[in-house]
Amino acid sequence: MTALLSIRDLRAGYGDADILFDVSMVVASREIVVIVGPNGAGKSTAMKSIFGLLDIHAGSIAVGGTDITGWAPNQIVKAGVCYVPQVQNIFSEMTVHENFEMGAFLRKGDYSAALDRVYQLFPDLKAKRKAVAGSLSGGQRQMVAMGRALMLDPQLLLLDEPTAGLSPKYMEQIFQISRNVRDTGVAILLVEQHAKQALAFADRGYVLAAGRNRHEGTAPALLADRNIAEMFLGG
Amino acid sequence: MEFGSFRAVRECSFSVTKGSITGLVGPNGAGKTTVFNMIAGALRPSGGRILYRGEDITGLSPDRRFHKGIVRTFQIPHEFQHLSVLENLMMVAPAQPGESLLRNWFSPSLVGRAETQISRRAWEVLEFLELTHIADQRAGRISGGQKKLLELGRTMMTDAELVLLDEPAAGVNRTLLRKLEEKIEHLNRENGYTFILIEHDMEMIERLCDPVICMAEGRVLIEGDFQTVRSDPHVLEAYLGQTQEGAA
Repeated sequence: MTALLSIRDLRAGYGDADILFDVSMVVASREIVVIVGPNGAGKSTAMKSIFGLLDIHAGSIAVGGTDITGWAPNQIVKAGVCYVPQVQNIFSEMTVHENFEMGAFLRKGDYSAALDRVYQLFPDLKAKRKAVAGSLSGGQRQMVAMGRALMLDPQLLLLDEPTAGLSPKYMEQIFQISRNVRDTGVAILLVEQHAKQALAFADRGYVLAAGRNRHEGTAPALLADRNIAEMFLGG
Repeated sequence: MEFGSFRAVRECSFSVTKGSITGLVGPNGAGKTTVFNMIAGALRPSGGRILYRGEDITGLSPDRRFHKGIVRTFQIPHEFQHLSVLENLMMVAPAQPGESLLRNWFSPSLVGRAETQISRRAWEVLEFLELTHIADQRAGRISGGQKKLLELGRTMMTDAELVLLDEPAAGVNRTLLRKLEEKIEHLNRENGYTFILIEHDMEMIERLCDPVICMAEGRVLIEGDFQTVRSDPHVLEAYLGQTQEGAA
């Protein structure tokens, strides 16, 4: 497996305090990988560290063989990584279309092809393209956030709990769309509390607990492990 | 408790029986949280009435409702960021003698005793929620899921009668969630708490709630037991999506 994202022995946290202890992970290109684990395990911290938002105290992060440890988020975006935070992930005063255009801010030249592709992935949003993003339902707002991130043609998309607070119908839709996104050639690393549902559509998973790697494996193997199910997935 | 006809949420009427755990489900934007805001007193309905134990509370302030035993949580946690996790819990306990300057001067032992008692209760809550290791951390610095747990913990710090839980499952680990369900059931059965639960986690709704009310576009779409609501074609269409149909 050629690693698109490779994290080795990562120690990171807020200020001087470590939250992650020697965490290692890999994501191959076109792979969907989910991080699950108890509250406070460091899942969101791992995502933020990859995207250059936190202090990295030890270890390394590489994308496509390039070491990006310590890079700023705007540089990491150029390395092909885009991030959708859990909250405050859209420009709610702007229209759907403007949100997508903002996503293309760092691009040079014509971005109409990227725009077409995003509308193809989110056909529901095409009819809503002039609507103010803040007026949309939770599920549609999440789609706007994903679409905005995809405007830069990332190789890797980071999603922090994309289905939190969404109705069951939208949860299914977000997972389905994520699969479609992968089929366009994008790898996805996501954090989920809907662990069973997420593992049902992911390729592989990592279980983090108290800031450390606890388990890893293919999604079916993790789902089949009774101990893991009981301790981390809600039985 | 009864709702008259709301215009803000468009003639939404339902009642909740004492001692029940009522589930409130429906698509994003259906008006579920708005209903909570009106019950808790954060929003005043533009029409209609809210009765609580037969008394009209429509005009009461949120703090008066709190003292009548109505407690709520928020979908997006409202923690005091600069206080510790423990202090966030201790804040909740009503009528603390230490709040009076005179009592602090003239009956310090009474103040001390009360505070010890409140602190003991807070530690019990932390233990239950598996948060003791972060008791002294500033609440603004804990993880998103831990903030949700703290939010729920605050409702356990007071002798509530009606607890409104706004998406307690979102962002909470599923194994811990199963334990929270047990705690909710316990508070319901042993302490007589009545719950209204807004939630998208259908497993949680199925396990805990009877009846279940499904709202859409500001109105009650259907009310009934879980199976009835789940197999209703309108609910499938508007809320659950087609993949749930096979499971129903």
